[in-house]
Amino acid sequence: MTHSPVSDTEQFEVALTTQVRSYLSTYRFWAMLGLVLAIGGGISLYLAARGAGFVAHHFATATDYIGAILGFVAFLAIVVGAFFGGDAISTDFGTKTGYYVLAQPVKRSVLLSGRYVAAFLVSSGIVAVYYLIAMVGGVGFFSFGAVPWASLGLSFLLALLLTAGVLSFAFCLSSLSRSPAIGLVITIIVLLVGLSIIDGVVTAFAGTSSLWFSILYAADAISGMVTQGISGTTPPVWQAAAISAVYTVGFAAVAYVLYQREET
Amino acid sequence: MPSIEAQGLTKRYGGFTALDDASFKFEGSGAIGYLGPNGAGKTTTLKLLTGLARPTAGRGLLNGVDIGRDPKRALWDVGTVIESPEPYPWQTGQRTLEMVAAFRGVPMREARAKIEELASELDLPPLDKKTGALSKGQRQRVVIASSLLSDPGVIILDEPTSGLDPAERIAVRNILVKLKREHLILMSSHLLSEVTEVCDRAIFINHGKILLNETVENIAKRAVDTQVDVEFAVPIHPDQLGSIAELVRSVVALSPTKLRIDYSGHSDARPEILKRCVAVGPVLSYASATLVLEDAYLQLIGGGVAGANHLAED
Repeated sequence: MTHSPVSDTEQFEVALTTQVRSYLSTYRFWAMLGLVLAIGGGISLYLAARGAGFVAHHFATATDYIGAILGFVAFLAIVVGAFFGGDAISTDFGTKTGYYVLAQPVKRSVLLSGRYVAAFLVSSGIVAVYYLIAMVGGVGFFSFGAVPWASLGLSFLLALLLTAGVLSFAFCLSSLSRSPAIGLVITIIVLLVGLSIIDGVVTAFAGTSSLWFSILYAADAISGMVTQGISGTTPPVWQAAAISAVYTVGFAAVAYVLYQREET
Repeated sequence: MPSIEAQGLTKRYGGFTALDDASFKFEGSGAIGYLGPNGAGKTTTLKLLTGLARPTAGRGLLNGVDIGRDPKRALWDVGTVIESPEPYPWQTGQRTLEMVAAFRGVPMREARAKIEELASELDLPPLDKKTGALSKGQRQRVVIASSLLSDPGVIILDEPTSGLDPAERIAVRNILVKLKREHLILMSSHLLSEVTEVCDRAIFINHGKILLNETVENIAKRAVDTQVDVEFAVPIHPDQLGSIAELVRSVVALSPTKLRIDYSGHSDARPEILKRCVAVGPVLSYASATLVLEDAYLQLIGGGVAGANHLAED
């Protein structure tokens, strides 16, 4: 063969675009986008229909309004992360796709990172749409100057970091499952139910509400930093960011090791 | 020069040994058939050679590169079809092939020309259809096309014609016969006729152990052929062959004009039987009842290692 070897970077791009196309072809992507538009857009349209007086009666400031809207973001980031990461690896080993993809001259680390970045782009795209709706509502119902831009921007960055952490966790669980469907369901159950139970048990028995190990705990800071201010959130912004970063790096590393070792 | 090498490849799953110290080396061009019953260790060998599984011991080298150490470089000039793989079901055939071309560094213009060429040779299904909507045979042809897309020096195929209809099998077989002139092909198959037609060499494996690794020509020389089919131009009754009774074990009428003669397998007996058949009536054809590889397969796989030794030492 005369073709010169392709760099890892070029193969990463192929893996990335392939995976993005894969997500865009799924019902779950369009369902999540539809849900975000329905919830965020629905609330905005309802408030717009009721008029400025109604909005002013329920939300004293743009900060109150945006903080209330962003209350859904933590749940959204966890759901999209689980949806787009829960079957990212198990697809290779639970179906015969692995025999096709893994026999190509591409490093598994390149395939994994391409898929991870694709999942992150798609997930964060949906989260960004929700922030956009919150931002447009804030400007529309109040004024440009009334929107707490700094805390809103920081909240968005934290939401992206949280999404990355959830994705790493989901990739890790996905690498433990042989069935894409089961991997997806287990990831959603663990993230939405399992971690909540663990948080509740630890809070009850250890008598502390500082759950430094929990990504759900970190998620509280996303809307908190808008409503309570950047320095007044529980958990503190730095702690929420640290928890998310540790999830992102730690579980991605475990997922990488498991993916490298997995056999078809 | 293309090469495939197994050095003491061993794979154990708990207490079960799927492959036991398999070693072979092939270089240059040609086709090697990998034969054995279900569960013999064929697919395990091919998975270990292509990095889809890790060996318990030993190593596989493709074009001199250890697949365990540098899988990307080892697979660079290798096309594979292992275990009827399934491309992404949401991708069209065209996108599937273009993705492989992109991974393998084939310029897109060249890739599209090659896809057109393969579409014609392999009678590929409409490539604007999603692969998930294709039949098993159609999908298999797309997969075979993708393994040939970058014109690799080494081609490793696991039951490549599985799921294909007879016409599709012939098309794939013709391509392999053409490719083996300049490429090195290692293919597992249950179809002995396919291996006979395509391959120059055969490896027999059973219970994870390689029993024989020999050229088809040598296997033919060593195989003990014990049955011939004789076709006459006119109806013949087995009783008419009384004159050859001392040379044969049994004669069975397959049809009014066709008889199967079971004999000792001794090389002197065969021309003598033909001579006496010609004396009985006009002979249209006189040929071995089974393929050379069938004989060898039955002796080896049926007789286990003892059979292998017998065949190798004869």
